[in-house]
Order: sequence, then structure tokens, then C-alpha cells
Amino acid sequence: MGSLSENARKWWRSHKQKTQQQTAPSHTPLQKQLADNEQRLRDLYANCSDVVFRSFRIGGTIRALAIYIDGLTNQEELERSVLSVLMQTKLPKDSPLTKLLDNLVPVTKSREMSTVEQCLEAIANGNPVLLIDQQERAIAFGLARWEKRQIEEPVAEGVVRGPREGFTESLHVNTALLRRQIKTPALKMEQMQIGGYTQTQVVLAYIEGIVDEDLVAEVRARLGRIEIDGVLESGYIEELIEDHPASPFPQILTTERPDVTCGNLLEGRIAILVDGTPFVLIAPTTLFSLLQSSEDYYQRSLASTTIRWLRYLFTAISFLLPSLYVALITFHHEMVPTSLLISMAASREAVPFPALVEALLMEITFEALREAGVRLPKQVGAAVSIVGALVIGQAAVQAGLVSAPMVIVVAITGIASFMIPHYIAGIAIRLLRFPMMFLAGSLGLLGIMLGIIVTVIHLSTIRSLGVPYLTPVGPIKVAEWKDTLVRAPWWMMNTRPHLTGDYQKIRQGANQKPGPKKGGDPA
Amino acid sequence: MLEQGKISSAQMGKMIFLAVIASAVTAVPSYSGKYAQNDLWLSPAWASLTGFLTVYAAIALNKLYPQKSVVEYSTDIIGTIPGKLFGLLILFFYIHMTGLIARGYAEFIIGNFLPQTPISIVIITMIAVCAYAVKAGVESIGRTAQLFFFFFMFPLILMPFLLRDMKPDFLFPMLEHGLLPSLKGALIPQGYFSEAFLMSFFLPFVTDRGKGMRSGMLTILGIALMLTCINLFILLVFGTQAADYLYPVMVAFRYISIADFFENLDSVVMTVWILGMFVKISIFYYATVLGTSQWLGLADYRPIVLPIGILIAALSFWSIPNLNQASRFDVISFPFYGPLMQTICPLLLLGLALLRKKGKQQSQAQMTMAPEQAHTHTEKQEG
Amino acid sequence: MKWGLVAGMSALVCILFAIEWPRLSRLPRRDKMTFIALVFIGWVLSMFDLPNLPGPTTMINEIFEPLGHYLE
Repeated sequence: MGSLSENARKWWRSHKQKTQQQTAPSHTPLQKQLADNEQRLRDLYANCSDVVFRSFRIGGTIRALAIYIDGLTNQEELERSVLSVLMQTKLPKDSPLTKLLDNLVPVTKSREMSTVEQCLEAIANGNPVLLIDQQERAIAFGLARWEKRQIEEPVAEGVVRGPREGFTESLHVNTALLRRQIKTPALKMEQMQIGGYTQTQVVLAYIEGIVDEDLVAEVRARLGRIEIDGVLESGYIEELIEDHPASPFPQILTTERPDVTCGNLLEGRIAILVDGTPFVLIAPTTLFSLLQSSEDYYQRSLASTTIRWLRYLFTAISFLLPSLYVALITFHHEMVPTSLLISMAASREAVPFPALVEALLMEITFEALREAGVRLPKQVGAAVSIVGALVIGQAAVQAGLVSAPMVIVVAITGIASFMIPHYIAGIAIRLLRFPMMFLAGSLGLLGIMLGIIVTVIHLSTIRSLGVPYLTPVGPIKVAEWKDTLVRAPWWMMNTRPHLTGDYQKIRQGANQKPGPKKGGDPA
Repeated sequence: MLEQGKISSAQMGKMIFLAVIASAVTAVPSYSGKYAQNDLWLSPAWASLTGFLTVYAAIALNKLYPQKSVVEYSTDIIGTIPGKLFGLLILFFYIHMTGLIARGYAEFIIGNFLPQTPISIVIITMIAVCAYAVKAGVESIGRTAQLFFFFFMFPLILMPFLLRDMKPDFLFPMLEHGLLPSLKGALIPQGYFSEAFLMSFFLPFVTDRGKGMRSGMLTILGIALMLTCINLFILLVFGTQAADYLYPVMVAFRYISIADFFENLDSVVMTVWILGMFVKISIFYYATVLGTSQWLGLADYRPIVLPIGILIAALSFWSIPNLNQASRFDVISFPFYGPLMQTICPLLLLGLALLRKKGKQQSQAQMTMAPEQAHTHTEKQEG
Repeated sequence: MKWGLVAGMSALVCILFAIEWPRLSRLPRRDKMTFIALVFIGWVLSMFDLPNLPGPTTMINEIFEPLGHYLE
């Protein structure tokens, strides 16, 4: 094992050097002659039909070259503000580049560059690069524009009340969404690039003063450690920085919602935004934050508290109900009330399978239906739901393959698993349901209890960036119960949850409970 | 140190609470009822005296040797060889007890819920789960204990449903034969109370050790109250018949019927009791593993978790062919063996340690006054 | 002697070594010896018909029997 990973590391190192030689030789300065620079870039972009090289003369005399990628750049703006302006101007041969920028080109975002790598990066990000003869520096204009999805309502995390904006695939739209909500300059966004080939932009966002500096340093270090060829989704980053890779439980929260991200930033967590995906990573997280929806904070506190408890109950049901059913049918008839037992036994009479097989059959079918429902083309959706409802529901019962109570159990379990607001947390619980069913089928209630114990031990060992996963019930932190066991009204949420290290405890002014006697002026 | 984890004194208290009460709750009403008759509700109070003494000894010893467990400081107090021998005895006691507790747990499960399942399966699955917990470390055990503590308290809410089956007449005549029967009935429970000495293994990892004494004493008080409560309930429901049942608590819960629909709530009690038993076995198991590693001076305790698990499983079968033999130990030996190892010996250790400290202080004091005299004094002490 | 049990125990011992050796190999010799000794004791014990064999429980019961009878 050790030698294998060592080999892999060696391979990676040599490979990385090779790719760097191919695409980005480290720090090649730009030459004075335009022809040299052009040749160099043309070599690098050989066989890249989407890269456009446009030669022209500034003021009809000095040779210049604009390079951009078709489709990533605002072409009209480039023509109007750069090319036509420069072509019509008159320029002394030795004028400094900065003057050119300041006086002639009406583009707000522009940057001077001195190496080939910087040029490549700018071009790749859609910023056209201008090379001028007899200049050892180039200019990149901030004229990137490519087709992107509009800001839409997030699909996986719907709310009845609350903002309907969701993140998009474009990193700068996402950072803007955050900045629009948190306007303080204390909101920091550190940008870095990850991925040898994709050069994906990753932003580490946090609020200075609220967040624990050590936490930021730790995340920064973990991100810096990543050596990968490409990052296509934040899932890559998640798997590369989490604490317990073998656990079924996600230790990093993913969300599509800017409001969830902002809420977590305000509680002292960090967010990792990855270009190319609407899913933002939030860490550290706990089991309970995976069971919370953003709407909990927008509804009235009493309603939210009730819904939270309903959610906890149904999370337990989603985890345990099929196995409880199996255990009761197989081992513990005496626990079922007699009248219920009789009707259950009657409906099970024709079923040829033991309860465990029946439950497994139905649960697996249900999972398959769900997976098919996510992947299938929209046009055939109706067909699948009809087949699912009719064949798996009614027909299976009529044919005597499964009993009606089992169908009910599976249906309730299915609904329960959709109650978990974060899809990924739901997957963990759905996965663990199957070993639980086997335990129930072999040892009855004892098996279920053993399964629960093992799950709880596992949960109590994992940490998300230093925060115990079961906070605040194991270890107990009574001050944080106000946001887990209940959802206290906002005027009671005076302290932030404690994550790691030093933190800014006080969140808001004390004693803000409203009432008829509390007018505008403080008494 | 072998263990990197840290727990709070509240977590330790809950661990000890579950460890003592998990096995006491099923058997004590029956055992106490046998000797104390209708005074059985008094017995836990007497028995708790052992608990208080034990906690005192464990915490006082920990104050003298804050970073050490009993296996380590015994060599400091009574010398290397006797200390090591004592450590071996303690370790043998704990590994043996773990096996017997696992056996008691399995007998209960087989007897009440899974009559068809082979006992070895019940024992081995539990030891495997506990091994996982022990490997996860003291922090995990502390957190799970904290979580399970609440679940363990749940059946108490069901107690009021027994009210209509209760007859206050069973309480009387009170103290008909004086205090002796209730004292005799306390003999077996006080064995369980002595198990509080397990905290000696956990105290070095407690962060807020200043609260250790308070939380330890509160734990004992809580156990005594809960046992008194349960004994009282059992007495009021069954009268002196309580002793005829092996597990009267389970029988009582079978009586409960809520709205004529929820019946046979003994399964609820069993599920919750499994949680308590898990904590109990894990703690004994952990103490054994940690103690063994300290005794042998190992670098890590995790690798020996599973081998010791095999030994525990073996001990749970060894010379116990049936349930009678299992409960024979509980009645004949445990009420004396447990307190001997966990209360009397620690108290003796504490006495010796205090004497030794006093001697040292005196010699130090003499040293400052008359160095030559002090020299002869220390020599004498060593000889 | 039940051969099934012997085979099962031997398999279990192999599994134990497979699980623990990666960690053990980095630990001192004393840890390795302890591990091997404990596993060996467990393996040997499983060979006997334990329930009907006098053992530690019998010994302890013998010692404390007089006290127990005093209670009766």
C-alpha cells in the first residue's frame, strides 16, 4: 500500500512537471520583439481553433496583437473601446504603456502583465490580451463575457418563504450574491486556483473577526495541499479536504442558497465557492445543521420548532421504520397490538417471502425508482411514475408478492427521507437503512439497538474541521440548544455557536424582546 | 499518555451512572426483596454508603496522583512488586467482571426476548460493538454515554401508568424486624455501587477535575434515588412477591397498558436497557484495556482491544454452564468481591498514600531543621 | 473438541492479525509480543469446553462461599 501510493506520488510529480512544461513554462518573461511573443503564444495555442489572434497597427504605425478566446470575450466592446480607439490614435514610439491605459482605452478593469503565464491565465479567463511591439509588458482588458445561466430559484432546496435566488455556475456571480448580502469589508474572499489542467478558480470566503483564524489557516492549508488534474465540481474539493473520508456522513455542508451561505458565514463558518458549480461548501458542519432548512429562520419560531421536531422524527423513521417492521414481524409479535397483528398477519398470508426479503425487495425497488426519476428524460417521466405506482404498489400487492403494510412502510420511509433538507445527508441515512434491515432480520430489536449504538459511536468519533459532529448533544452545549432542539426567536439568539478556538460570542444586543410597551425610543 | 481524548466531569458522571445502574436496575429489586421483604426500598440508601466511600477514595487518590490510574499509582504507593501484583489483581477483577456482565446481559436478552438465538451470538455481537467503542476512545464513550443517558431516563415517564396497579398497603408494616433485613438487602446493591471506582481510570482525562468530587457524589446520589424509586414502585406493585421474579422491573412494565393499545412496553425498557448495558460493558472493557496497557507499559492500547475482547468472551462462558451458575456468583461472591477490590483496597491505598505523604513532609521538615537526622529517618523508612 | 469452532477461531485470529498488524508493525516490540500472547491465550482457551471447566469464577466462588453462607 505504502509503496503504491509512493509510486503514485512520484508519477504525479513527474507528470505535473511535464504538463507545466507543455502549458505553462514557469515564469517566461515577455520579449521585446512582438514577433517572438506571438510565435511563443501561437506555439502554445497550436491547434486551438477557438483562440483568435488579431494583428493591427496602433495609429497606423506600431504593430500590436490582440489575443482572445472566441465566446469568452465581449467582442463588440473589444472592437469599440480597444481596437478602433487604438487604430485611430497617434502614438509616439516610446510612450509608456500606463499612459496608453490611462488616456486612451476606456476600459475600467485592465491589468499589466510581464510573463507569458499571466497572459495565458488572462486569455483563459476571457480577458483579451494586447501585446505591443517594443514593449516587454502586455495589457489584459477586463472584457470577459460568456454565456451563463440566469440566477434562478435553487432546485434542490426550495422554500415557501425566503429569497428565491440560487447560486449559478459562474463564480463571480456567486461572490457578488454574497457581497450583496454582507456588505462589510470584513467579508474576505481569498481566491486560489486548483487543478493542473482546469485551473479552476476557488474562493475561500469568511468574515474576519467572527471566524477563528486557525480555522481559516487550516482550510487554506488543506486547499493548498490539493494536487489534482481538474476540479469540475465542489464535490472534488469536499472529498479532498474532509476529516473522515470513509464515513457515510457528509462532514461539509453543500448549499445552492446564498442566504444559507451568509447565515453560516455570520456564525463564524467558512464557505468555499468553486467556479463551475452552484454548490458552495460550508464547513465546519454538524449533524444537526444538515437537518436544518433555511426557512426555519424565516418562519415564526414556534412553527419552525415544530417542523424541526417533525423533521427529527421523520429522520428517525427514514432510518429505522423498515427495520422496525422487519423486527416486529419476525421476532416480536407480542409488541404489536393484537388487532393490528391480526390484520397484518392476514395481509401477509399470501406473501411467500420472509419479511426481511420483502422489505429489501421493496426498498431496493424504491431506491431504483427514485434514481431513475432523477436521471430520466422529462418526456418519459409520466410513464415511469405510472409504472411505479401501479406495478410496485397495487399490482405487487394483488399478486401476493408483497403485503400491503410493507408498501405503506416503504411509502412512509420514502416520504420521510425527502424530509431531510439536505439531499446528501439523506443519502447517508438511506444507505445505513439497509444494514439496519439485515440486523433487524437476524437479531430483531437487539440488532436494531446494536446498529443504533454503532452509528452513534461513529457519529461521536467524527469531527468536521475540529468540531464534534454531534455538537450540541454530545458533547452537550446547552447554549446551542436554542438553535437545535428548538428554533428560538431571533431576539433570544444572542450568542453565536462555539466552533473552535476564539470566537466572537455576542451576536446582537441583549434584551430585544418586542412588546406593546417597547416603542421606538429606548426608555 | 496512552489516551489523547478528554471528557468532562458531567460525562464521567453519566458514564458511571449508567455503568452502575444498568445491571442494578434489573436484578436489585429481586435480590433486595429476598432479604428485606417490604423494606426493600430502604436498601439502596444503605448501599449507597459504599458508593460514597468509593467515590471519595477514587477522587482523593486522584488528587494525590492526578495523571495516573489505579494501576499506575499502586506501584508508587506500595512499591514496585506489590503494586504490580495489586494491579494484576485489579485487572483480573475487571476482565473477569466484564465477562460476567456480558454473560448476565446475554442471559437477560435470551430469557426475555430472543429465546431462539444462541447465547454466544448475543455475547459476541455486544463485545464487538463495545470493542468498536473502546477503540474509538474515551471521548466517544463519554459522548455516547451522555446521549444514551437521556434515553435511559425515558422509561421513568412510563412509571405513572403503573399507578392504578399500586397498593400502598404493601409498604406496611414498616421496619417490622428492625433495620437488619433492609441492611441485608443492601448487601448485593452495594456491590454494584462499588463499581463507581471505575472513575479512577477516567479521572486523569477529565478536564474540569475540580468538579469531579461534586459530580461523583451527585452520581451516587442519583443512582441511590433511582434505585429507591424503582424498588418502591416494584414493592407497591408486587408486594413481597417481588423477590419471586427474576426481573421484576420487566414484569411490571408488561403490566402497563396505554389506551389499551400500547401494551407490552417491556420491549421499550429492554431497548433502552441495552443502551445502558452497552455503556457499562464498554466502560469495564475500556478500563481493562487501558489498565492492561498501563500495567505492561505499552505504547498504544488500541491493538489489544480485540484480543482482550476474545478473552472477555471466553470468560463469559468459563465455568458457567447455565443461568443458575451465573446468578450464583452475583449472590455469593460479588457482594464481597466487588467492594473488596473496589472500595476496601482503594481506601487502604489511600491511607498508605496519605501516611507516606505525611512521612515525606515530616522528613522534609526535619531535613530543613537537622539534615543528618532526616537522613537516618528516610533510611529507616526505606528499610 | 469441535473442529468447526477451532477453524472459526483460527480464521478469527487471522482476521485479527490482518486488521491490527498495519498499526502494530509501527509499535514497539513489547506491544507486538503482548498482542501475540493475548491472541494465543484466547485461541487456546477456545479449544476447551469452557462452560464445564472449573475456572476463575469457580475459584472466586470458593473463596467467598463462607461469607455468602453467612448471609443466608
